[in-house]
Amino acid sequence: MGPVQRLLGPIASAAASVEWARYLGALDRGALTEAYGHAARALSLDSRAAAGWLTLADHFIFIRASPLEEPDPEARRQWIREGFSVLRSGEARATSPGELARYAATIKSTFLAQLPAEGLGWPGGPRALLAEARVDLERAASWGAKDVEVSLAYIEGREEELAAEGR
Amino acid sequence: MNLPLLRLSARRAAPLPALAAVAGVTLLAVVDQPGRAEIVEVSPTFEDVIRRGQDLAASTGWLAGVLVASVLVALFAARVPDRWFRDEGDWLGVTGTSRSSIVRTCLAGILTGAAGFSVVIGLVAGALGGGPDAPLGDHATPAPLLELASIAGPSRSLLLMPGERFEQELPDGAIGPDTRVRIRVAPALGAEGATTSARIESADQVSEQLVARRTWLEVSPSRSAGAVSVTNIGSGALAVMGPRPVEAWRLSSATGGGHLRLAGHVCLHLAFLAALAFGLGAWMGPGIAATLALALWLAARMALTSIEMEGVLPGGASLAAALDAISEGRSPRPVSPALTAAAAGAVLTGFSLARSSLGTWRRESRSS
Repeated sequence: MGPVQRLLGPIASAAASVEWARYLGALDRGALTEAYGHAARALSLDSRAAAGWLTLADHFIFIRASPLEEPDPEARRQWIREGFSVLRSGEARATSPGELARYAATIKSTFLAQLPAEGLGWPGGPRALLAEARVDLERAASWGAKDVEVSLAYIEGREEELAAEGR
Repeated sequence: MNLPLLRLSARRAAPLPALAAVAGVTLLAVVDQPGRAEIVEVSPTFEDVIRRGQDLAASTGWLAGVLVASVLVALFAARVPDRWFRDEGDWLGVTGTSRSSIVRTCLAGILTGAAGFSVVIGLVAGALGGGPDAPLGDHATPAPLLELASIAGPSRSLLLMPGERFEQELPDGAIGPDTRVRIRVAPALGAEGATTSARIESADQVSEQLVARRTWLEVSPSRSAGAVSVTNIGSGALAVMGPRPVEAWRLSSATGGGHLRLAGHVCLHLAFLAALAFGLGAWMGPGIAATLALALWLAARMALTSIEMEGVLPGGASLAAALDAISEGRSPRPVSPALTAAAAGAVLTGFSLARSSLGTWRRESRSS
């Protein structure tokens, strides 16, 4: 916890909420740079809340990396990596890092690994994504995240399906 | 004018603890929290965020400082006349000074105190959050300071289907070699694609951009031009977002990175509130008077917004636009005569209210 957070004490979270509201307002106006500035300030004000990290990561992975916003697959992959970088940054600061790691695994295994190869062209394809998701889940389990077994079982099932399809 | 009374009123309108509190709040909003740099550096595309982080911090500092100062100024200004009636009438009422002079002097002191808040916020936010001497950082490159030259365009949004074009003429001299022109657009429903592409042209400069969300299309003409146009070159529909979606920005000569101009806007806003609260405080309790002054300002803002005249209210749309300009690293427009007239009207109202309340007070003081 930084000195500003200590000074603000219990209102640091409220101040972060104000910054998140300004983030949404800036996004609505199309002022992306300003929006990311507000998000960064909000995250540094209240870095212990997982919700903030999830919000920014969601924006990168599902909005900025959307084919509607970014037709170039390489640029889309870059935005997705930025989203995962945000989640990793959050793992180092949030009070529930396991939740963030499990979320990263869920996105990789249930969303990205399902996308057609020609749309995203992730290096290594679905198998690489499932392997990354497995690593994320192991990290989530080490932090005591719940329901990791369910996600692991899903990944194993998907890997078997891919093997059966010869992929 | 009674200088000791003026100084006393100024100190009462802006006591040192209140100034320190506003400075502290502004500082907390401006200061760069640990960890922010690591967060924004997750992406190379965040260079703009890093470069403009200080402008954003300055804008946040101004906003936080103004919010706190508005409440404090209204409350302290309303307390000044309350003191007359509580325990100062015995000596102030029999000094031989005219009623008008007492009111005028106290009001001048209050306005000086209100200006003190603006100066304090400006010193903290301008010095630490931005301004010409602020450190630029490793990723930064100095950018020219711009200010809004003109706003134009239709009062309502309009839709451009694929292939359609919108052209806006601007006043002579609005578009020059050092000008940037931008048009506010957004993707819209009604055509094949969910998003589209657009081309903006002015003079010999052309720029094309994918439009997937509300955004600005911007171009920097290299020579003077009289018009700017945007063409929908994609498969989706394109909305040109009114009202007045076309802005021309020119090089600014504002000092202090535009913070001095913003201080002017804030000063007028605080003077407006202080004068109203002072006048109302002569007729009712300070808490109620301060609340009523703030409520009247809010009501005026809502009423003026509904008739598209929000720009003439101190602390209204002009202050919001000034804060937006600072957060973008640009200079606000100078304070307009209409804003100054509105603040002067509030000062006159405050004076009249307080002056009219003193008739009874003087007679009571003399009889006692």
